Amino acid sequence: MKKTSPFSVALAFLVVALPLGWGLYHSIKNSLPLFSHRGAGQAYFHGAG
Amino acid sequence: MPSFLARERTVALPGFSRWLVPPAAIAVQMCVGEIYGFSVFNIPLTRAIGITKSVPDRDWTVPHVVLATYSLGLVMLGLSAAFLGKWVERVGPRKTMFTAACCFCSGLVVASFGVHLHNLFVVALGYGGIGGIGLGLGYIAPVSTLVKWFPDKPGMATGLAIMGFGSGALVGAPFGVELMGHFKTASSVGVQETFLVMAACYFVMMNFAAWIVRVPAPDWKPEGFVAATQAKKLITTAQVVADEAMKTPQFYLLWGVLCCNVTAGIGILAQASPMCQDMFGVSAVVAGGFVGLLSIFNMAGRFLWSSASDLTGRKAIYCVYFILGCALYSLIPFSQKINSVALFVALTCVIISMYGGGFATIPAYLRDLFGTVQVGAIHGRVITAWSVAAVLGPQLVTYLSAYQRAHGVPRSEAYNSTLHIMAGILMIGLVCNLLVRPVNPRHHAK
Repeated sequence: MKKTSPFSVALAFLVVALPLGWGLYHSIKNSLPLFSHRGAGQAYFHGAG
Repeated sequence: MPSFLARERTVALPGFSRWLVPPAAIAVQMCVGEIYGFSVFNIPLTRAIGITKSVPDRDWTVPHVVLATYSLGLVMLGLSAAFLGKWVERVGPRKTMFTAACCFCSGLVVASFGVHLHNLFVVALGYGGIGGIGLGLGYIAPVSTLVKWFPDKPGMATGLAIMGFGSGALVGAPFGVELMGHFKTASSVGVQETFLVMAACYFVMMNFAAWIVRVPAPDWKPEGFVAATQAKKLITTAQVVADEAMKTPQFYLLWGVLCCNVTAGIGILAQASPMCQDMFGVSAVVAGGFVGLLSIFNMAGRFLWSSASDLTGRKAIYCVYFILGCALYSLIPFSQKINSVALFVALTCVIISMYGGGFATIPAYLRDLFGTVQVGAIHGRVITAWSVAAVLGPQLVTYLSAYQRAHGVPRSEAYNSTLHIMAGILMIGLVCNLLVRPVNPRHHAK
């Protein structure tokens, strides 16, 4: 019985994780203006005095 | 000897790790999920001749481009999944993934040729038509395979597979933008070359998945897993074939559940950017960031909510999607009233996570009610609800908000009645879900 090596499993996950991580990085980078937006910033603290 | 693509050649030998199958499923879904990010090509395609700006009467318009690519692609996805589902079950995942790769990637090549000729019919034939068939095959093949590999965690398995589709936009959109930036010249917007490079990359990725995918041997079960000998209330141990499933009320109730869940979610997703700008007066750049954030929650919700359904049961988790979703939709007008972008973002992110969760949980729900024998084929037929919802949801939001504005409602409040309608649609979905009962044994395969 030939067992699948954990290295093969890790490698397979890495093949999909690399583009996914790259896409995630881009999306988070692009969403940053949402949090630095002045109006939004004020709104985040709405009601907090 | 059967060919490399034959189902018999994909039956896993003892010692094969089932954890090699999720990366295969995610790889295929990530590639075909690129359609979610296709909007990055809309504007460049409308400037194929004018380059810096659209030339009236010669360049295409955005509605024409969207119809020829995104809308046609989604319709073809539903149709091919519905009509080819039984073929997918028969030939197995490897041949299906290979066929999906051939269709999806050759569709991109044909579309590239269409851009070169500046012929929208050829673009539609390529991306929407041929590519759309690849979309449908690529969408359903990994799901039924994973359900068979993870009988102990079906929700997590389908969540993993369908999370890949949600991630398609996260990868495909920036990839498309980078490539267009690289190939853009004074005489070209770079779309033609971008499609060719994407076709090559996706072909490699999808065939990597076809190479590592396996189906379990008929008598295989996970270590330590004891299959239930007696059916639980909503988890059958019997099998129902696709044609027979269509004769049950459960099939149509789940169709309604998916349609309502997707209609409500996709309405927000498709109009997220203008909605955010109209309701809070934020800039297009900020609204673009909001859309990116929604994509992340859409992807994460697919895995997290569907995995949670293994603990709560499918019916209970859909009750959460519908009841919580209804409450959150009703709160969105309140967030606008107090001008809280933070509350708006939080509400919509949770809503979109449940939209993704609804997509990912449906195959596990189908498996619970109909068994695994033709779950891929049944799933293929149920996702025609998606095609309907993809038209219904965005139209509802667009037309109702436009109607409100035309009748003097301020721009910032024009979405309120639409959001209440969305909450009502979720209530219809809740009723469908509550009516789901176990399938009558007369439909079980002998």
